[in-house]
Amino acid sequence: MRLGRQGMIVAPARTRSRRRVARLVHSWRGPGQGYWGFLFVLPILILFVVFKFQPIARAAYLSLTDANPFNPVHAFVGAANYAQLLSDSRFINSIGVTARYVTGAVIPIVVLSLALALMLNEAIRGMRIYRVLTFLPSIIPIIVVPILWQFLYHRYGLVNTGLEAIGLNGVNWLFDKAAVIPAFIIATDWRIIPLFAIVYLAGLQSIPEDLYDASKVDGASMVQRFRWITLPMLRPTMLVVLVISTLFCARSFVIAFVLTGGGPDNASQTLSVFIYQAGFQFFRVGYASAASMLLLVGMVSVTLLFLRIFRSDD
Amino acid sequence: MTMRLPLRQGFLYVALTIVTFFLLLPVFWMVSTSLKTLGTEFDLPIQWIPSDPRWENYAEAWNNPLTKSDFARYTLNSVIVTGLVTTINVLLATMAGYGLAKYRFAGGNIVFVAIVVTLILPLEVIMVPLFLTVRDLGWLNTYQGLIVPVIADAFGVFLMRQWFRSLPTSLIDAARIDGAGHIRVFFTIAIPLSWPAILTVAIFTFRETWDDYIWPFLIIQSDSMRTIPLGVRTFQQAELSNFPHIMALSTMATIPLVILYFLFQRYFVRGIAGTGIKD
Repeated sequence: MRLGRQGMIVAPARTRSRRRVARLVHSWRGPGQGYWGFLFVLPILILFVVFKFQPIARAAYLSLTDANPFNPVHAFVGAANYAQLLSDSRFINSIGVTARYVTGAVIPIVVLSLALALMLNEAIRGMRIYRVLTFLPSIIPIIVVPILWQFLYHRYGLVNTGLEAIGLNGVNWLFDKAAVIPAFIIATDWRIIPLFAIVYLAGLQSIPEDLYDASKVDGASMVQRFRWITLPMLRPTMLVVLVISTLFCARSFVIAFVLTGGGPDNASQTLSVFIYQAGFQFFRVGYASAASMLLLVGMVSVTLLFLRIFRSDD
Repeated sequence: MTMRLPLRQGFLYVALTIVTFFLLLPVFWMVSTSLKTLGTEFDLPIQWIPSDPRWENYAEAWNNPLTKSDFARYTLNSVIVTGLVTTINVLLATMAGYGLAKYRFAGGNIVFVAIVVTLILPLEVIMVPLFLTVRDLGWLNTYQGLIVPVIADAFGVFLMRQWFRSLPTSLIDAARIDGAGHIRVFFTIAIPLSWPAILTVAIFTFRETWDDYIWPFLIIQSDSMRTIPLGVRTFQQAELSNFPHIMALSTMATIPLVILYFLFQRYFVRGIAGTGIKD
């Protein structure tokens, strides 16, 4: 017999026997009524089937064909697209670009978002204002981010003005093969560090206050408290930040696409830009689908790897 | 030992102010440039507050004969698309979360896991087949095309299921025992108890949809169907070197989101803390 989560059911004004109440509760959530749950899920489930599950299956299928948008009859080509991808220097290059971009962006996110969150977590006067203001970069429309940074990275733009003001040489950010990935990383991190600081902040605020109180009584220093209370308690949050920011950067499209479109000389062609160009500019649907599947496999593997690492050194 | 309190606070204020300054610098630059006269945007030393602010940049960007862009129309499109996506997604996600949390049926867990797994499935991976699907439906360049595929988003389902799982069942049980039907209980008991979660999902979905660039970019060709982000991008491509105009337009595109943020800050933050980070 299943009872409500509360264990006790508050009987309605007209008193009934507890047994009868329990039976009714059983019948509304029990075997005979369960299909109602399915009916509640069904509308959105249909949308998921058509616009999420079906496209994945279709991508998997198309990746094995020579499909293009103009010819509805595809030939099955087996693993040929995958084989060609692995020997396509542009594809290999885009994997390298994505890997450098993701690594370079994620490490500062994991560390600096935490630093920002630690500051924002202090109880001082005016903290609300700081919390609101530091969040603004994340409010800016995503399409405005690369447009704005294109100007900031201009030869005579704000970034170079700042560098020259402190005696350094200006950089041709978006046209220099060595500088373009760092340029992406700065723009990306500027936008999303405030978001992840909020995630950390929620994590920090869920740490029970009495842990800190007890450690103060024991005479622990600020650094010790951070090392032995905050960090271990934040572990799940850190995993979330790591996984989500990695996935976010691995597929990031708008910043790369609008800032450089992959240039100079493919030096900033991320995987998502590669997929877009293969599918929508060269109309090689099968080829683009194969690249999509590899991106998906890569993202899932990295996620599983992180979960594994975080679990195994417990 | 701990630093003395005033010293530590002073240090904190200084550090926070520096961080905030650098985070906001690009935003200052955007607004400041939007008020400059064409050709003076790189003059040194930087004029953060232009001595002669050129407010006409805003009117000229909004209604520009050169680019022939129609921002009134783009705004209308954004409102229609975002409004419908948000409303329908919130309703369907609430229903699904309720059904998954409060009922037991065969395959319920599989359905939930299958939906939530799509949270890590980016549009970039399925953009080609999704485009083909929408094309086969004849939905390119239409509102349906902009709206229906976007409704299938897992964040709301996930959040609403969490919400309903922690919501005591006793009230729902009581209503059922009093003879209310399943649908009536959902609308008269479950929904009124769930406004905080519903608002969180609504704000989140609103922002995601309002801000989305990739999907409209893929399926919209005609000018009259453009949303604001597409309009901003097209304008930028047409006006490449008129920095003040482009920054004025960017500022205008930012304002609605800033207002939304100030009005619903708490729900904004809750959605992010529940890590619906996407864009």
